[in-house]
Amino acid sequence: MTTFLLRRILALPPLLAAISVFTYLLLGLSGRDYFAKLEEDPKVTQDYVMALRASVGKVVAVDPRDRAREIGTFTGADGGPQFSFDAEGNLLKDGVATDARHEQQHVKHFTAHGEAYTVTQQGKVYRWVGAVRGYFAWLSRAARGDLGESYQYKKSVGDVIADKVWNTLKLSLVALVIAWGLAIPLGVWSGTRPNSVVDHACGAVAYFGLSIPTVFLALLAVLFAYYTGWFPVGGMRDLVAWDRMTTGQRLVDSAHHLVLPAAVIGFSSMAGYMRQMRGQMVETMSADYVRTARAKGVATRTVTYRHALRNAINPLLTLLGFSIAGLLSGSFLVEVVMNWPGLARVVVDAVFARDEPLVMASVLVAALMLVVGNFLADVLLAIADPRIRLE
Amino acid sequence: MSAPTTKPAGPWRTLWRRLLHNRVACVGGVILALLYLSSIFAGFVSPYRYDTGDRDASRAGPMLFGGFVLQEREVPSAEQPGKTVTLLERRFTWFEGGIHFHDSRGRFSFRPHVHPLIEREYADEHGDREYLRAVEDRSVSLPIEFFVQGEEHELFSLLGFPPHITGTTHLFGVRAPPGLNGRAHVFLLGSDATGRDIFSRLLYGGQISLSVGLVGVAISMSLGMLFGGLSGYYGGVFDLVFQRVVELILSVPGLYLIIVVGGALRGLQHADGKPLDSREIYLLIVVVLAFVYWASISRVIRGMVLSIKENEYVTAARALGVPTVAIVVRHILPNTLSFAIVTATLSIPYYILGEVALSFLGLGIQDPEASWGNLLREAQETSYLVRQPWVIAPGVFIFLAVMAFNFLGDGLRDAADPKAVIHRPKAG
Repeated sequence: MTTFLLRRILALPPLLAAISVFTYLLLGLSGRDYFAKLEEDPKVTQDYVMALRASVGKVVAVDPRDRAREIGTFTGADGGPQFSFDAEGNLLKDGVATDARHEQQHVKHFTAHGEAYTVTQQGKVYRWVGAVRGYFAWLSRAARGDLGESYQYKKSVGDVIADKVWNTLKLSLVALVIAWGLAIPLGVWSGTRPNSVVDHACGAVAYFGLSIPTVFLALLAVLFAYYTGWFPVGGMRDLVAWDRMTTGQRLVDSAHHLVLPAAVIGFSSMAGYMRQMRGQMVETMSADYVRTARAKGVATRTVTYRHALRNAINPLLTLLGFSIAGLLSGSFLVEVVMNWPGLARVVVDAVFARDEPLVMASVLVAALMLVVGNFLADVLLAIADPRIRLE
Repeated sequence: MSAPTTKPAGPWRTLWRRLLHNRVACVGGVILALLYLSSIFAGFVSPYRYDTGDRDASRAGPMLFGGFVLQEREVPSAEQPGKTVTLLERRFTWFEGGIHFHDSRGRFSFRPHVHPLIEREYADEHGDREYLRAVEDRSVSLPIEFFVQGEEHELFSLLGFPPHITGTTHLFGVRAPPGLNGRAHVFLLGSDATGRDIFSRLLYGGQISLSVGLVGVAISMSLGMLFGGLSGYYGGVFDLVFQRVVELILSVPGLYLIIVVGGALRGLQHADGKPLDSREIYLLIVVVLAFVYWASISRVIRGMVLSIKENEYVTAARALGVPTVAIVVRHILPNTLSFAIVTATLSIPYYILGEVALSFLGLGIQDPEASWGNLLREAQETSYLVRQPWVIAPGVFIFLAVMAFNFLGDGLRDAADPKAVIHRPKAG
């Protein structure tokens, strides 16, 4: 058990590092960053945007006295005239002082000694950090527990996603309870009566649940909530009355908002487990030890629950690991449709805005939830089934 | 004299015969055939093109289920206190109006008829002029005609890929008689904000949503079989590296990965700064989905290859000096084929739902191009969804397609190997 634990924990950092490299490279692929949108705004000066980029470490300002030594002579972006810097860091064109404002077409983006630079309209010089160094800067900060600051929200990424992660977790856990709470009894029920009316009805429900897309089910749930008025149409709490509520009322209100989205996710993920449970139950009910127990005259109830169910349920615990990935994916669109303030909305908004630190952190947290979930499922399986040894 | 010999039925024939005996699988097959055929021939089956709309007939009701009529409502006037003004409203009447079976004089007819859509102008409580569009003029009935001439369309059109075969005949449609007051349209499932027919857009959308599944599965199946086969057969360093890559992909929850990859590729541009056209976006979506889903397929193939390569016939082939590539291709991969076909069928819903998720969130197919995902975007706005619940129609199509693939896949699995258990998490 200790070896297993250690191995799993040791495998985690390389995995997270690999995911972060992968995500970082993907985000840099299109060449447009969060600030590119600002650049297109005529009211925003280029110097301001570059200063913003410098403040998040995407570019580094080159000190005026270092310019001549570091960059020296270079050709403009379109292969035009030769530029250089003097000892005070002023821009020279073919050796004559010039104004960077008028030379933007040549000096806005240029490369010298394999590095990319920008000279702004006011004559400031910035060196682009690039994907590789940018990633390692991110990594060294992340290793110290600092995931950076969100560009959109201007606050620490941890603060932005902490309660969202908790919301997603809450929704997924309740959905998990609903899914298993329905799947096991229904599976046992239909598994002990194969080919009966009950069995066929459960089979049809399972097929329905397996085939219905969660987006569609969530939309149907919104319509259901609206037309019956039994449930709130979306959100996580009553925004108007929340502040005036007592703790007890708040609990009831939260639960009221939680039921419908959790039921949608739970119902749509229940089907697979139910089919599995039924199959296992049918199999164990015809096993030798069950027949022996019956022959001994043990009551049907005891045979079903003591002998058969206990053995039938083990393979389902392996599914628990799979189910966590399914839940996180399944809850994604439900969160969007039903306005649940979870991780999904944050990821979508961050991807649209190209808020890199936020996307990185969200993907890592989602992966972490998955890995930890799988790990817990393995441990649970080992506890439930003494034949399995974790090493 | 030799005894009459009958050739035993080959494995494919057995599979086919068993499949035909499975009623559920047949139902799935028929649904899929209908969906694919109506999408492939969307140009002919649908009364309109996906991108032409009539702004004077925007937000019409679904004629299959009824239509909008005018309703009067008294409200206090804002301009003259103490007085009331009569406002007009659109009210949807279920199973009244829409497609009906009588002509303008109320005589029964076997030919379905629709009412023309008119626009009404009225003054609101401030005395400002307002317009109500696409309400039915129930005093007039126009016959639906079959095989009518209409807008030019393409048979087999897929985002401009060849071949280009065009026609102007549509399966059904209405023609406006001269001097008609209003607009003559047949909107089976209503029209959208710019007056485009949702039914037509659904059929055209099927071209994208349904083909994404086939193309995506073809790509990730080949990738999965290639890498899974090689890594299972060779083992060693290749296997080790490959397994880590698979683990990496599998350890990010599917939709999160799809959204991030889709979002990253969305910003891609041509070198001259032009944004990607719809055909390129379509290909990108397929690549994204195939990239995310090939990992799990290759992992299963690898497991199968590991067990198959221990068989005597593989050892025998090796002893006979058959080259490695030939062993993998001739002796090992064919044994995984029945599994591969079943898995392919059962995993097509993942691609369909993946495209739906991407387009639904605005990262996939963009307007005016239609796909089931971006058509469902209309339903994202709750206030709009509850007033016009028929905007979830694309969801019904998605549901049908996914269910049919599940029916067919389960039937195939039972036919190929009744004992096999293929674990299948929910597609999303």
